[in-house]
Amino acid sequence: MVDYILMFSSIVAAATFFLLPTLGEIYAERSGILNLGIEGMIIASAAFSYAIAYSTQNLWIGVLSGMLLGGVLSGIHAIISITFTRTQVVSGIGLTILGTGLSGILGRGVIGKAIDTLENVHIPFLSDIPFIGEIFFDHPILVYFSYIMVPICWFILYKTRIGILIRSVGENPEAAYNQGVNVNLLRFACVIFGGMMSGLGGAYLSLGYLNFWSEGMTQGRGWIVIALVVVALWNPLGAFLGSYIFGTFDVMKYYFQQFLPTPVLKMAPHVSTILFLAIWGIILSRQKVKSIVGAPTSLAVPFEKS
Amino acid sequence: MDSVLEMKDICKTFYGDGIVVKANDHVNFSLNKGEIHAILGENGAGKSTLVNGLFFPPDSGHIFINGVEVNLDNPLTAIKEYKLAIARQDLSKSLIERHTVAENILSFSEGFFLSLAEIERAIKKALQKFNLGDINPKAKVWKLSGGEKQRVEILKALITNPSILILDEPTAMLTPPEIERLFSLLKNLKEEGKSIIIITHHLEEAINLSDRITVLRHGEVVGVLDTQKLRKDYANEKEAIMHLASLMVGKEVLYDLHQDKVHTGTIVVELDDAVVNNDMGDAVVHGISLHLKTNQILGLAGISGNGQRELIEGLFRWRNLEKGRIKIRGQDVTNKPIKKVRELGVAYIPEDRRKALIFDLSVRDNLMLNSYQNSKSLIIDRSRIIPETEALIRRYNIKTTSPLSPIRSLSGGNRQKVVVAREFSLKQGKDLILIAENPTFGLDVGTTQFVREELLRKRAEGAAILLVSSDLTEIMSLCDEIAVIFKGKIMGIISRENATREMIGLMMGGAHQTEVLV
Ligand SMILES: Nc1ncnc2c1ncn2[C@@H]1O[C@H](COP(=O)(O)OP(=O)(O)OP(=O)(O)O)[C@@H](O)[C@H]1O
Ligand SMILES: [Mg+2]
Repeated sequence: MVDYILMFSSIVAAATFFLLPTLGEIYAERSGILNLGIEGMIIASAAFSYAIAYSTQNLWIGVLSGMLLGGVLSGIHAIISITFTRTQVVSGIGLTILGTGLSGILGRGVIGKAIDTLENVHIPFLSDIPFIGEIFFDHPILVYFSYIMVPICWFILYKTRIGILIRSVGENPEAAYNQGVNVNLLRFACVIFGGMMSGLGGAYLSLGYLNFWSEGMTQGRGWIVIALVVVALWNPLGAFLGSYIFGTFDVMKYYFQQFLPTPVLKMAPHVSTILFLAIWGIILSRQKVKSIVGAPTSLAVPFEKS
Repeated sequence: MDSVLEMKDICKTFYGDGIVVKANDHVNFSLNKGEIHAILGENGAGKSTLVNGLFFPPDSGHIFINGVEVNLDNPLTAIKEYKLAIARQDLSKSLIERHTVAENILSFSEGFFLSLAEIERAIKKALQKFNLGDINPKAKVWKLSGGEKQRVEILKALITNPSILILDEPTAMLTPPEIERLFSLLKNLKEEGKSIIIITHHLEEAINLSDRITVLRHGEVVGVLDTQKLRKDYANEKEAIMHLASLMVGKEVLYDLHQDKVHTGTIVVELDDAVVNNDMGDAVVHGISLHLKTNQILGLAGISGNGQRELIEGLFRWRNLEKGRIKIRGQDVTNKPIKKVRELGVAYIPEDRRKALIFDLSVRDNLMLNSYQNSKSLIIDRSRIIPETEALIRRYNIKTTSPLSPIRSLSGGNRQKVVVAREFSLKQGKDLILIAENPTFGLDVGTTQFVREELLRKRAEGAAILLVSSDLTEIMSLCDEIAVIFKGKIMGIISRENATREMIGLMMGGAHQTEVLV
């Protein structure tokens, strides 16, 4: 008999790991900067926040350090791709390599060492609802944070002045600049926000979700975030949906172990990513659809003032 | 009189592999308070570069506003501090296609939160105040016609309530009544003490509207004229235009077009009962039938946004026909691939250059887009194609730093020349079917004249030409027959001998042929 509540609750836990960086990357890409360094930022932050939490014995300092490292790493990408208008793809992949290497160094001292990790927080009233409460409101605080970030990110992107400016900069930086928008500043802000969200995702991974540090623990899931942004159609609400779908794939592998061989199950999240992208690609390739929901027009195109 | 704006010794140079273009070479320009100042010049003379120098710093030079030297190093200072506003020529650098009209007009919004509904209301009010016609603020920009986009761009500049307004070819895609309304608006603004710079290729506009005219040639000022004096010195408008044109080009250019008598030939394009939808899925072309013959220029006149774009895109297989059929040279090509249509010799000059050019590819590559497939082997036969493209660049006088410069670096008019050159040379003689949407849009007088002559020459050689234009002068001077479109229906087809400007104008406003032919 499967424990459904446990299953759903672990889907939420897994989805949060996808959701946090996806929200950040949506902002970066909306502003026109593709950051392929997510995987590197996540894994380095996971190691760093665990190491800091271990040495300071303070989880929140650990979490903040993770965010900070994410921000700093994405700052490198921002300087290369925005200030020096270099190819974003190369710089992003470089960042992943850097982050992966860094994680080995930062986490060397804490492999296999246990600490108390983030506690599940009981929210009065909400946590007491049967089923729902147990599934959604019996988690560390970062999970709740991801819930509220979804509508906040959506609201800012679509309903505020800064949101329109961000989207304008990603669509047509020249037009935005001509109207007096500081294109580079906005792009910087978005990329660094994206890096901090990735860092938070990393901290959540080692301190709130898996609760240990070991090398290569992301298992390449940082790359799925990049696909998720596409699946989400660059919309925070879509990110929520997409993260939960992918979170489901991620968790399912534990539940299907009796029916399917493990290697097949381990492939599931990655194969499903490819399938999703293929289907999405076909739907999105129609000109008319593209004009409405496709990628930001100037995504990955460097902006040089004429 | 005191000048509100003074530009002194402005230099701006562009570099392309090995070749240097001095777009502005020690240009001096002054704008008086409450004056409309026109800047004229050939394509590539440096007009846009000069006014852009107010928003991005030129290489060298001094700019004075109200007598004080200023440093305009980014658009924000120019817009906010010195109350400059510009409606740009290159809308692709100025409008965000995927956003709505309201989202494009950012200057309205202030503070953190944003009420789009409020902005939309403000836009509606401003449209009324400035008499710029009806535009839905909720509409996505990519769904608008060229003229509508241009009006949005003008509105975007006006709405900041600037004291110096710059309009870079604002009338290129507007209809005559829209132009008239814009000009009376400009005159009102002038009365209010605003100063206006207008760049245009329509010399009569400059003569009738402006107070002074600065003429640029090859990046240098060749004359600053007092328009009133100009009007006095010449017996009529036409002679004044001729004078301006020769000043621009440096030699005599304008003469009357000569249209040979040619007998129209056989039908090559049959469009029957076509129904085409717009991007929103509503039918905007309601059962149009047109026949196009060899040795003929058929004009399609109409105010932009009456279904011309959809009709042409349907004809050219850019979008599906919902109903009806197309036969080209007897072959049914209804909803067949675009390649098949092209192989039958259909050349196309779209209104929106982005539909015809790949901006990041070089001039040469863009010129070869039609012919590279004719190479026999797998590898493009460059040794044969390169001389052809060189010849086109010379023949059409395309001003570019090098054939290898990207299209992006060309001036607006020269981009258009690339399209015209390529499409005109798709096929020869009777094999050519040409669909041209506002082909002279953005071209200077000399080149306009050249393109019109080419159209007539192609017609004499046997080509079948469909000329879509909102420029009545162009329609009246080139076409054998004129079809007028209104709200997706043909109001009538009149031969040129029987047509008058008034009749066409009335039909463009929705009168049927039977009502105007008396
Ligand atoms: N970004 C650029 N890079 C290289 N050359 C450029 C660039 N922008 C303009 N030029 C060149 O500078 C010259 C002047 O261009 P400009 O756009 O000012 O012409 P214009 O007078 O506005 O012409 P048009 O009537 O065709 O708009 C042209 O020869 C053009 O090729
Ligand atoms: Mg220009």
